[in-house]
Amino acid sequence: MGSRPTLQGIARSDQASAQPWRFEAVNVSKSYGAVIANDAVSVDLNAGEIHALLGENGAGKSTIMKILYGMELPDAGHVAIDDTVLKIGSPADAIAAGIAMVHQHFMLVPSLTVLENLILGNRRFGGLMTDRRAVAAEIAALAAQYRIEVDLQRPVGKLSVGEQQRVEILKALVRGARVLILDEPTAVLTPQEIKALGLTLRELAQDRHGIFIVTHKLPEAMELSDRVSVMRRGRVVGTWRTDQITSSELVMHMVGRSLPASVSRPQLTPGSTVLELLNACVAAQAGRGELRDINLKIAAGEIVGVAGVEGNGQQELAEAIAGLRHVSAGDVILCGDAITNFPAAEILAAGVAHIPQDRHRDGVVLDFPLTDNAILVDHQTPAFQQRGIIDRHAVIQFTDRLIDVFQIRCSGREAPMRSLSGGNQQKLVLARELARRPRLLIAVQPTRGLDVGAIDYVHRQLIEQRSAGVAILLISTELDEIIALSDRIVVMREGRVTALPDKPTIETIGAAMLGSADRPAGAA
Amino acid sequence: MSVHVDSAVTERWRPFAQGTGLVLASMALTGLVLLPIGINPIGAYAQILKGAFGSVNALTEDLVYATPIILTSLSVIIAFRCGLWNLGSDGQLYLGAIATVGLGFNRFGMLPPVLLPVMAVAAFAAGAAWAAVPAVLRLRFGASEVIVTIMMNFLAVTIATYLVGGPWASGITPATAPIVSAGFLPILVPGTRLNANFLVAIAAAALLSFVLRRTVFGYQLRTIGQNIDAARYAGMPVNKIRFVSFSCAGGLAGLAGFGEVAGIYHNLPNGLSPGFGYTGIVVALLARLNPLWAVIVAFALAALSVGSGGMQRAMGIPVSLVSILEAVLILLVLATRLLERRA
Ligand SMILES: Nc1ncnc2c1ncn2[C@@H]1O[C@H](COP(=O)(O)OP(=O)(O)O)[C@@H](O)[C@H]1O
Ligand SMILES: [Mg+2]
Repeated sequence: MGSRPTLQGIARSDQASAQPWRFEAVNVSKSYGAVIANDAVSVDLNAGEIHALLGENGAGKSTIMKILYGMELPDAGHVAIDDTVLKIGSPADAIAAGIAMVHQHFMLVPSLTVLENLILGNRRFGGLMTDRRAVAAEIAALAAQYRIEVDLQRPVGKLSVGEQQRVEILKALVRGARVLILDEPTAVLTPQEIKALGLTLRELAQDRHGIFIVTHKLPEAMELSDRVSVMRRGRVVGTWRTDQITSSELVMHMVGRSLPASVSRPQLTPGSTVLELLNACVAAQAGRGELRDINLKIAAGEIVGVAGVEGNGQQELAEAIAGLRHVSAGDVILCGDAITNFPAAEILAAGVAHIPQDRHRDGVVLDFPLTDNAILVDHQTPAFQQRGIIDRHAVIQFTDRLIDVFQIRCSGREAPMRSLSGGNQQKLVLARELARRPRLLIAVQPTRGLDVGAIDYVHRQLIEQRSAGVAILLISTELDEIIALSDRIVVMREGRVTALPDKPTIETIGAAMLGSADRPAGAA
Repeated sequence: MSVHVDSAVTERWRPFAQGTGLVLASMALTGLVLLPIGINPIGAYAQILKGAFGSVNALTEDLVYATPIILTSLSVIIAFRCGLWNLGSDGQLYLGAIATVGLGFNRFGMLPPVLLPVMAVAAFAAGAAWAAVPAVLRLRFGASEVIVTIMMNFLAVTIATYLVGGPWASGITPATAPIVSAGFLPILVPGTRLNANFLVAIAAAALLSFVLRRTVFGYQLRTIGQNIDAARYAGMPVNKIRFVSFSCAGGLAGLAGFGEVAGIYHNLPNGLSPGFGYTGIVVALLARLNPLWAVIVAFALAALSVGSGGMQRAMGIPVSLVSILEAVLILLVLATRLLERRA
C-alpha cells in the first residue's frame, strides 16, 4: 500500500497544501492504427499551477489528457509523480492517486440529486448510516470555498450543461483530487459561466491544486494559465510561461504559420429575397423554447447574423426553417414559395443546407464510417444513387474530396466517425453542408469547438458562399464572429427577434442581448 | 498501408475467431457440470459431432433445421438494424404457416406452377400483416413492441392450435389435413428432407445483406437504427422506413413458416415451431446483426441440436444438455459484449 505515490496522501497530511509536488507525462507515445496521436509527449504540472494546453483539432490534446487520467494506456513513456513512475491502468487508479478528469460528456446520474451524485460510490460517505445533513454541510462548505455555485438538492437532469460541469468539478474535489484535468471545459459554457469557472480554477490553484486545461480559445488560455503548452500533430511544440509569450506567437506555433488579421468581405449588392419569415411562431414544447412573431428577410448574397445569449430561441429558429419543428402560426417562404411545415426532406431538396447546433447528436452517425456520414443529407440525389442503389464509387470520391479539402484528420475514409477528434467530426459536417451549394445556408455556431486555423477556414467558406449568391443565416454566440461576417445583425432574446440600429457596436448589441438591465448576472 | 489491410482482415474475421473461442469455452464450462454427474463430456461431444456431421443425412438435417432459424434471425436483424426489437418472429412464423396451409388445400384450384409462389407470397404477407400490428402500435401510440410482439406470439399459437383441432383438423394426427402435392416444395437431395426453402433462406440472407449495405433504403434503415436524430435531421421518412422494415421482419419469419409446411410437414402440426423465433434472436445477436454471419451461426446451432439427438440415442444423455450448452454460450457472449463496451 504505502509505496504507491498519491497526491492525496500528500494532501491529507497536515501541511497538506504547503508541500510541493510535480505530476508529469514523460515521453508518452500513442497510436491509433495509422494515426500517431501522441509522439513522445512530455508535459508537467506543479502544485498551485494552471497549465493550459493549446492546439488545433486532432493535435492530440485529448489523447494525452486521457493517458494522464488512465482512460488510455500509452504505447511508450509513462506518467509520474515526483519522479516516481505511477502505475495508472484505469481511471479508478487515477482517482485513487488524486487525479480527476472533467469530461465533456458528463458521467452523472440524471435522476439523482446533485448531493446523491456526489456521494454515490464514494467510500468516505458510504454505508447506510451516513448522516446526510452533515455530509451536505461539508460539501456545501467545499463548494463555497472554491466559489462553485450549485444547488445540492436539485436533480442533475434538471441542470444546465454549465451546472453539470460544476457538479463534476465538485465531485472531483469531494473525492480528494489534487489534479484536475479539464478537456475543453468552456466550449459548452456561456460567457458568464466561463468567468465563474475562471474564478473557481483560480481559487483551486491558490489552494495548491494543479490544473490541466485544454482549450481552443487563446484569450482564455492567456488569461487563466500560468504556463501554456502548444501541441501540433501529436507533438508538444513548446511550453512557455504565459506572461512571457504573446497570443500571436502562440497562434503561429499552433498552426505553423501566421494568420491574417481577419477575413475581408467584398462589397456586394444583395440579390432577390431568398428566405422570408412572416410572423412565424413556434409553440413551446417540453423543455424547449418558443418563437414569437419572427419577421426576418435574407437576400441572396447576404449574411444575416443572429446574436444572442444561448437558449433564447436560436436553435428553434434554425429548426423551424429546416422543417424540424412545427411552425404553429405564420409563414416560412423560400424564394417566393411557402415551405411552412413541409417535410424536412423537401426543404433540404429545395436548397436549404443546415449546420445543426448539436453536430454530435444530429449531424453525424458515430458508428458509421466517414463515407456514410458524408452522404447523410444528400444520399437521395442522383449523384450518389441510381435506382435506389448507392454509388459506392461516387461516395468514395466525394468523401476523399471532403477529407482533402477540409484537411480532416482521420485514419481513412472507412474509419468510424467515433474515432475522429471532436473538431474533425465537426469539420466533416461543415464540409458536407458547404459542398451542397445551397440557396440558403443555416449555420448554427459553425465554428464552435474549432481551432484557430479551422475557424479562419470556415469564415472564408462562408464569405465565399456569400459571393456565390447564397443567403446565409448565421447564428452564433461569438459576437466577434457575427460582427466580422454579417451584412445585417439581429438579436434574439426570449424567442423574439429585435432589429438593431445601423452600425451596431459590441455595446449596442450586448445591450440588446441582455434586454432591459434587470437580467440577473449568470443566468443563461 | 499494409497496417491498414491487416487490421481490416483481422477485423473481418474477428467475429469468427471470437465465436469459435466462445463455443469452445462454453463446451468446457458445460463439461465441468457434466463430470460430477458421471458423464464423460468428451464422449458426449464426440457423439454430438458424429450426430451432426457423421452422414449425408445428418448434414442435410443440419441444413433443414438451419433453414427456419436463418429466416427468423434475418427477421430479428432487419428490425433491430432500424432500432426495433422483433421478439415476435415465432408468432409471425405461425401466421406464415397458417396462410400456407390454408392456400395449400387448394380450394380455389390454382394451377401447380402458380400455387407454390402464391403460397410463399401469402405466407410473407401474413407474417408481415401480423408484424404490422405491433409496428403501428409502436409508431403511432408508443406502445412497446417488445411486449406486443411477445403477446402476439401466444395469440398466434392459439389460433394455430384452434385450426389444428377444429376447422382444419385431419381427424387422425394432431395436425391439419395435408396440403395438395402441387404445394410441396422440391427436395434438393433425394431421400432427405432438404428442400428448396433452404435456397430461399440463403437468397434472403444475401439479399438483405445487399440491401443493408448498398441501397438507399438500407442506408436509411441503418441510420435510423444508429441515430434517429440524425435521420430526422437528414429528412429521412423515419416512421415509414421503420414500418416497412418491421413488416418485412414479419414477412421473413412468415417464409420460415411457409418452408416448414410446404417443405417438411405438408400440413400444419401442433407445436410447429420449437422456438425458432427465439433461437433467431440468439443467432442475430451472436452474428452481430450481420445477415451473412447469421447463416453460419444458424448452421452451427442447428448442427448442435441435430447432433444432440444422436448423442441422446447413443449415450442416453438427455438433449437438454444442449440447452445448457446454449444457455452458457449466450451468457458468455453477453458478458463479452459488456466487457467490450466498457473498453
Ligand atoms: N479512439 C480513437 N481511435 C482512433 N483514432 C483516434 C482515437 N482517438 C483519437 N484518435 C485520433 O488521434 C488524433 C488525436 O486526437 P485527439 O487527441 O482527440 O485530438 P485533440 O483533442 O487535440 O483534438 C486524431 O487524429 C484522432 O482522429
Ligand atoms: Mg479533443
